[in-house]
Amino acid sequence: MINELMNIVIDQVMLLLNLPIFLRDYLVVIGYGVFASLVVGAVAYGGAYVERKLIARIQSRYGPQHPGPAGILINLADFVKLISKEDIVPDGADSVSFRWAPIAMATILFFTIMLLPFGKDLFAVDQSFSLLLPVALLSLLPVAILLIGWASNSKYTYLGALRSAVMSMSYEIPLLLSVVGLVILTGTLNIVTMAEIQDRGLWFVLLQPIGLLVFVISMIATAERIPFDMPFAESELVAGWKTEYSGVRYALTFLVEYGLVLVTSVIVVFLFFGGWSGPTSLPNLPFKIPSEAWLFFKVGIFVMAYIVMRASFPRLRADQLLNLCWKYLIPLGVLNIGIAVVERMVLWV
Amino acid sequence: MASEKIVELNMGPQHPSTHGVLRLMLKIKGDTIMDSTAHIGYLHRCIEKLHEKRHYMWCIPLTNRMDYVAALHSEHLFVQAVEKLMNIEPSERSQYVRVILLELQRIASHLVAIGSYGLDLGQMTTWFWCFKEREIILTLMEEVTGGRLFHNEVRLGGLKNDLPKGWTEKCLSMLTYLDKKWKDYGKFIENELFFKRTKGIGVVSKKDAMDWGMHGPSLRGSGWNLDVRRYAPYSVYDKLDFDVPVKDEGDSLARYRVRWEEVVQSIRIVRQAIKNLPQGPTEGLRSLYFTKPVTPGEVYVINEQAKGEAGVYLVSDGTSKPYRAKYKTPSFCNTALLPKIIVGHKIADIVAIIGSLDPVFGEVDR
Repeated sequence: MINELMNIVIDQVMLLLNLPIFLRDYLVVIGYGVFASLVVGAVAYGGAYVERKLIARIQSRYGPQHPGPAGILINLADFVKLISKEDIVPDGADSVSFRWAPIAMATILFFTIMLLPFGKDLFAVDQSFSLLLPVALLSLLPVAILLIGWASNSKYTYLGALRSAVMSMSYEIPLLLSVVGLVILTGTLNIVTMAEIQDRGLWFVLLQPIGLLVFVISMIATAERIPFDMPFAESELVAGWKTEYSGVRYALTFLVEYGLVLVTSVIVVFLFFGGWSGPTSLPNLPFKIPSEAWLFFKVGIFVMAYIVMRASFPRLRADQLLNLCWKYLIPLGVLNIGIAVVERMVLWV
Repeated sequence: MASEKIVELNMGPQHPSTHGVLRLMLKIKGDTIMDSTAHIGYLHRCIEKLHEKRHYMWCIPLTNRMDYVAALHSEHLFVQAVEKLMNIEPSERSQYVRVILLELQRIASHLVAIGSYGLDLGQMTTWFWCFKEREIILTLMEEVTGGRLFHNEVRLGGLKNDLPKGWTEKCLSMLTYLDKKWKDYGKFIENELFFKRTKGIGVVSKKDAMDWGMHGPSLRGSGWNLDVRRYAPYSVYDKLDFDVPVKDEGDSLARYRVRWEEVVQSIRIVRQAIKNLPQGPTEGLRSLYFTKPVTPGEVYVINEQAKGEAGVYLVSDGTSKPYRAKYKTPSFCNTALLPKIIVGHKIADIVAIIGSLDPVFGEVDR
């Protein structure tokens, strides 16, 4: 639905500006970029609001009450506050890296989102590596975090950045191992194709439960959320690698946090929960439920799961995560590959 | 690795989870603590010296400011000392009311300890739930004493206020509510991740706990069955039936569990005290405080505070002001052995250990 709308707008722009036809692909990418920014903005805004409200309810509080009805404008107020703050670069910090690393992080995140589909036909480029590329891009984030930790010239940021690096070493291998099973089953690295295969009837959550478990744990570590939020554990490292940031750059780090929640939720829904596919037989409705709505619904459940987890668990230590990943998740991931091979032989032939 | 350098890290006094103003100088190698020094004194307000310049009654609000999480305990300690000096026996009813308030205060203090322990470990919900219940207790105490944190309630030979009408029923219904909730909270807090962060972390052996002078729930977490309420009963604690929870493991989890069970025992004590509450006067000797001199002499009394055994050495020279008041506070002793415990642990464990010792820095520095 959104795809058709975007096509109409792009055709109109082409007509109005009288552009040559080969520019159309670029316009699609730009249009999708605008759409992706809107989605990230909306998810960061809505996600932060829902998080505040839901956590507040779990913790027997009301959460934000004003401004706006039920405090819906609270994040806008916070954003205005953050952008009106002074942009402080600490003494002795490496100014260039300190200023640009959060922007680099946000850029990496937007690139990742550009590669993800958001509905049946809603993607910028249908390329055959759409499973590998987001994962590869996300593994660049710890590099930016390490740069921040070094550039801030503070021991707490440095420790937070080191923890982030240690974590990325431990969770990236199980993350990739857990999806190898799916690649074996489907014979493709394209997550759109994977979702199409699942749309025929069988979601991979039923075929690959161990893969899902490994993937979800690694995915929470990727998003650096409780119980794996050691890189900015507020009770240990003040704010970890975020400690020295203020103003709009601090807002950017938050955008990245919620963006990661979105990206990982979308990927897990596409890999294991059939992407945009809804129930095959629905009672007769006067309208058709668009594929984007099903996707939104499923992703929303995962975002909620992130929030509930944050309200209920303490955080682990970095070395305990290393233990978990190397001792349990990697063997489980390998086992999962074996299961996938057996399933492929039995089911697909 | 041999090439790893030892880095000095300054933790506090503005650090968010050092429970106030503790400053730790850490020498870390990678993520492991090789050596540490605790610096205290950032909250020093000369409370002991100020005692010497004030009449006895005016010292009571001062003692409130020591352990500001459980103000009534230090207040009771000071009044206990003066009562012993002057040989005053408080009325039966006032002693029971004191015990009710003291135990409510203990529950409130343990709620803060366990709540902030959750916050230290990243389990924010525990903090909010515990503080929600603490609010109810503080409101109950406010109805009696007029103060939420600083009560200034205990007087020589009695109390400032008696329990208001209908208060005991309200208190009993609150206890029923808390009893039920507390079991749920215990189930919520003790999940697998919580065990991972606390089991075997910050172990203090039975011998070390005694040698280094640990106190209170932390000492009982190391296997010592020592509670002043039991081995040197004051007030009416010898007439009440309660258990002293003891754990042998000596780690952070044991210290947390001792606190958790002490709340259950405190609920039991308050219920009994309300049941046995005698009728009679509760008023203390009001006129005495301002002008009259106190019998000369020196005393040392102890009581069981929420953080452990506390003592005051009070010297009177026969004037209306104390000659010297020297406090021994449990948080100070527990903080003193903190640098020893954390050596060899990871940075993330520091907060888990500080939280399990539950120091209050108003009491450490005085």
